[in-house]
Amino acid sequence: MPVNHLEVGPLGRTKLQVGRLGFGMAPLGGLYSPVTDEQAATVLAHAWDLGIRYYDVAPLYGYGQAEQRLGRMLQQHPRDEFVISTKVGRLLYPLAEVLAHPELDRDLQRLGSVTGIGGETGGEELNDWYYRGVPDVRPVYDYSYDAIMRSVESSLKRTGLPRLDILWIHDPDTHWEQAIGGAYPALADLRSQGVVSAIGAGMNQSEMLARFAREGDFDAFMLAGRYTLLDQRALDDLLPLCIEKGIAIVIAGVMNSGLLANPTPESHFDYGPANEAQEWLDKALRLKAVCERNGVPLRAAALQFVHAHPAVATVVAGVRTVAHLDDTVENLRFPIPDVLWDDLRSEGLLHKEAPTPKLGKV
Amino acid sequence: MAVITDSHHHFWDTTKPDFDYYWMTDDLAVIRGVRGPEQLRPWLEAKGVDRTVVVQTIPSLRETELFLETAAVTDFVAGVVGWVDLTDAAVGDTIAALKARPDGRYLVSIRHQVHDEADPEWLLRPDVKRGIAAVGQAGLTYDILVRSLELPSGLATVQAFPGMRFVVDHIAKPNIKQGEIEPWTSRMRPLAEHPNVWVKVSGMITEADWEKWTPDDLAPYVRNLLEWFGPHRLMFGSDWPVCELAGTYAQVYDAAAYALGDLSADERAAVFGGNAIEASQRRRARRRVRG
Repeated sequence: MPVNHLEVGPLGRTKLQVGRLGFGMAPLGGLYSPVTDEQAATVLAHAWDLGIRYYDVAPLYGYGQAEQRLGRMLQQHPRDEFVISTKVGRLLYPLAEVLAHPELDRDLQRLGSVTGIGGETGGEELNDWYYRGVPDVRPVYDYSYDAIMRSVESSLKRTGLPRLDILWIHDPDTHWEQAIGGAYPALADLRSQGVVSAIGAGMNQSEMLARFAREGDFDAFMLAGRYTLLDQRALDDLLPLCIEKGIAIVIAGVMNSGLLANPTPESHFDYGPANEAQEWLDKALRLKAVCERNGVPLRAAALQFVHAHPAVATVVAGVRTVAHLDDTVENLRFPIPDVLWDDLRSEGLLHKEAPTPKLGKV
Repeated sequence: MAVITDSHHHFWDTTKPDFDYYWMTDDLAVIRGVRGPEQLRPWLEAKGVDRTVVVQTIPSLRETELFLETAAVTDFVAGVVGWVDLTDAAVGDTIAALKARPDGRYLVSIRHQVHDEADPEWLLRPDVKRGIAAVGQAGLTYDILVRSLELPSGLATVQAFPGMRFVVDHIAKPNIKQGEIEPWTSRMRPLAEHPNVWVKVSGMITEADWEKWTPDDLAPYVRNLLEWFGPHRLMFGSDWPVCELAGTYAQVYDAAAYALGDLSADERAAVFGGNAIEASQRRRARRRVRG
C-alpha cells in the first residue's frame, strides 16, 4: 500500500520510534562529488520540514563533515524530537599521521592513488575515490573496545549533541573477530549503561549480519543493498532470523546506489559503476520494463516494496537535493496496482518468499 | 456522501496486437503498456472516485464491444463512450445491436476522433449528420472531440440537433501551452447558448506545458467555462492514462478541483458526479426557454 512517510512505529523491541522514511547522510558528506555546507543545510532543513525525524550518519561520511552538518541542524531542535544513529569501527586520523604510519589498519581505498587503489588519474594523489571535498583526515579501521568508546566520544563532539540513540558497527566485513570480541561488548555496555537505546551493525552483506544475530544480542541492523527490489538475498538468511528474534531492519541503499532510480550503464551499483555488474543492470532494466508497462515509476516500486517486509522498520534515503527528497516522498505515496507485484512475480523477478505490498487507502 | 464520477478515461493494452493505437506515436511512448481496471483502481481509491466512464480510443467497433464487456465485469465502470462508423448507412442497426447486447446498457454515448480527420468540417458531412441523428434516435449522447479548428462544425451540429445531448470533450482542447484565448473563446462560448451541451473539464494538462504546467495555467479556462455554462453543465474527467504524459491522476484531480475554485458543496458534487449522470440520461434535453 502507499507509504505515508510520517507514519511512525517502534524500532523492534526498543523504545525508539521511527518514521517510515529516514534520512541518510552519506551523500551530504560528499559521496562521489563535493557538497557545500550551505547545500547540506538547505536539504536538511527541508527534511525536517517534511517531518523526517530519523537521521543516520557515520564518521566515514565526508570524514566527519556529515556528522558536523547533521549536528548543526539537529541542535536547533529539542533532543527528544528526533532519533539519530551513527557508526563505529573507523577512527579519523590526520592524513599526515595515516601516511606516516603504514602499520595502521588503513581503509586503503580511501587513500586514493597513494596506494594505487581507486583514486583518479592525474596528480590529485590523495583524493578519496568515494568522498570529495573532505578535510585532511582519513579513516582507520579499529573495532577494539577502546576505539569504539573513543569513536562515540568523537561523534558526540562532532554532532554537538548530548546523546546518540543508535550505534551501528560499520562495515566489519574483514574484522569479524574484533567486531564481535571488542566492538560488540563496548556497544552492549553503552546500551546497558543507558548511553544509547539500540545497538546493531550496518553492512552491505546479510551473511555476517545473520551471524551477529545468532551470536549476539542486537536490537537492529542497517542493511544496505541486500534487500531491495533488485536484490533480495537477505531473505535467505537474515530476514527470517530477524523476525524470529524481533530484530528490526533499517534499509539503506534501497536504490542499489542509484541503479533502481535510473538504470543505465552510467548508474552506480554497490558504490561502483553498474556496467561492471551487467547482470544486475539487465535485471534492473527488466524491473523497469514491468513497472512502465503498468504505469508505475520504478522508484515507487523500489521504495514501497521493502516496506512490505514485517522486519523492516524504516528506510533511510540518501539524497543530495531538495528535489530528490520531494521525489522520494512522492514515490512512497504513489498508488501501485496489486497487479504490478503479480507481474513481477510471474516474470521471476521476485524472491519466492518476498512479501509484497497490498493496495489500501493512503 | 455524493457519488464521485470520473466522466472520461481510457483503457488499453499495447502489449497485445489486437488493436492499432495509431495516435500513440513514439513521443507518447511513456503511456504505452497495460492500462486496465487494475492499473486505474489504486488512483480511484487514492482520490475517492466511485465510478467512471471509459471512452473509446480508436475507431474500432471491437474496442467498444470490449469496453462493454469490461464495464459488465468491473465494479467501478458505470458507462462506455463507444465508437461506431457514423458514415455507414447501417449505423442505426449497428447501434441497435450494441444496445441489444447483455452489456449494452452500459453504452451511454458515441464519439469519433473528429480532430484526426483531414476535413475540419467532417461533422457536417451529410453521411455523418445522418449517423449523429441515429445516435440521437437511439437515445444516446454524442461526445464532440474537436479543437478550436473544428469547433464551428461542432456548434453547427449542436444547432442541427436541438433534441440531442452533446458533451464537448476536453474543453475543446485550447492550446494552453501557448495561452490560447482566441479563437477558443469566441468559438466555445456560443455553445453555452444551447442547453443540450455539457463540457468535460478534462484533458487540460496535456494541452499545457507537460513539464512546467501548474493548476494556475488551467484556472482561466475553467473560470470562463463556469461563467458561460454554469456549474451544472461541467463534468470532471481525468483523461487517464493520457494524462500521464504530463502528470498523475491525483495531480489532474487536484488541479481540476483547484481550477474550479470556490463552489458550493452542491455545485462541486455536480461537477464531480451529478452532471455526468444528467448528460447521459436517456431523455430529451430541455429546450432552452428564451426570455
